[in-house]
Amino acid sequence: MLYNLVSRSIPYLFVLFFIFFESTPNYFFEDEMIKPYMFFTIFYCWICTNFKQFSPISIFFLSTLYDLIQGGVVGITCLFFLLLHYSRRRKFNDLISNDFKETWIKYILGFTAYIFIISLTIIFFSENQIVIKNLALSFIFSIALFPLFFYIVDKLSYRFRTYNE
Amino acid sequence: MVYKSSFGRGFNSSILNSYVLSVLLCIFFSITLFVLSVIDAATIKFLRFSTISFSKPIFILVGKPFQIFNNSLIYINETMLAKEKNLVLLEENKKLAKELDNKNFLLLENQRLKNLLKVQEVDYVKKITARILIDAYKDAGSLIYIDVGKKDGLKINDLVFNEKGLLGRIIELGQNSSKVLTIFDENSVVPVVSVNTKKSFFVQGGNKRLELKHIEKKFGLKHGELVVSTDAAGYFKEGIKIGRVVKTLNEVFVLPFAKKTDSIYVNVLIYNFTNVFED
Repeated sequence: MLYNLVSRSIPYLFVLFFIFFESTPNYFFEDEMIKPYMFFTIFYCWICTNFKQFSPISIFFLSTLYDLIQGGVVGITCLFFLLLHYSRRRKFNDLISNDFKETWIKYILGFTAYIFIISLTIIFFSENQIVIKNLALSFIFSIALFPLFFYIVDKLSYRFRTYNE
Repeated sequence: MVYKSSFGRGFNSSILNSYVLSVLLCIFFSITLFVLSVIDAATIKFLRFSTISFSKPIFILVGKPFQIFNNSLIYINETMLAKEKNLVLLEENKKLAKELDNKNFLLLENQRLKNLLKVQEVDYVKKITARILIDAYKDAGSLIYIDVGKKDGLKINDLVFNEKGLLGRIIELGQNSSKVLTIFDENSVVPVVSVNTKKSFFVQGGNKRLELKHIEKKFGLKHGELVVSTDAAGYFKEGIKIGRVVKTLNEVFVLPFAKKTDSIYVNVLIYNFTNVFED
């Protein structure tokens, strides 16, 4: 039972780690490290591979925590992931194939839309400043690292799914 | 044989099952939070600062492994350069020893003049050391959060600096954490004076350098001269070193001494300003 509890909590701990890691000050010598959108990518991968491991309530709390820590407008991330969760649930019932290339393209489209909306909210509603260079680097790194994140999450998700079942 | 109640059966088979209800509820709360953050409500500020303060141990824990790794790399690098650095430091020590003699003479003279004028020292400055909790890469770190707040006596506009110079100022306060606007942010405008040419102007944040504002004949500034803050009618503190003037063929700008990647720890100076901004 204890092992089952640990297994169930692993996805949450994994996602929480990346929420905090994305915001902590990590410097390489005296330079800043380029950070991709780790929380977004990991959470996206997890919902794509096994949406059952996260309930709408947990998505709400994790996304709100992320938005609060990031300092911008709160609520957009949550809405995005709730819609993703809902669409995955519907597609799961229709048994649509999970081709990786298709997932990657969908991720790029979804991620671009997310960044666009977030940038618009920052421009219109927040005093935070957008630095195009950093945003572009984070964007490119997130897309480039997606296969790696997806691989890790897929392995972990499969492992814990097996134990649960 | 067990039958489900008619209520349960009807509830699950309809569009409004428990899953959809929870999604709708979460969407409602998300939209509420969105609206609150757009109108910059105090609730969101309170939630944000409480979350940051509450998560402080997690931030430290998560950042620690990378910090240890980076410190180890810096240590190895410094060990490799130890001999060369030692020679430079020996030369610097000789120069500093001479300067120390001059400084002691000036201190003595200053004390004598103070006694003559009967000036009383007022200890109005409090210095606090804080840790950077949040520094997101996406906004170029122009906004950072530190782990001290109202409870530590901080006020809006208090100065944040490290050993090299001014880093920014407090713009939002929580009970145990606060938001810092660094001098690199476009919204940051600091009143300054050049030490040699005695010109008063403002510096505005830019990408890794500070742009000059409200200055006539900016090419009149000397290359490499020191720029320090002025008090700006009591809203700011004078005499904090900010950077050096850099002149090229086409432009003049200020290169700041401090950058946030110098250290994960910063100092906050709490002053009794003549005029104080309300939070």
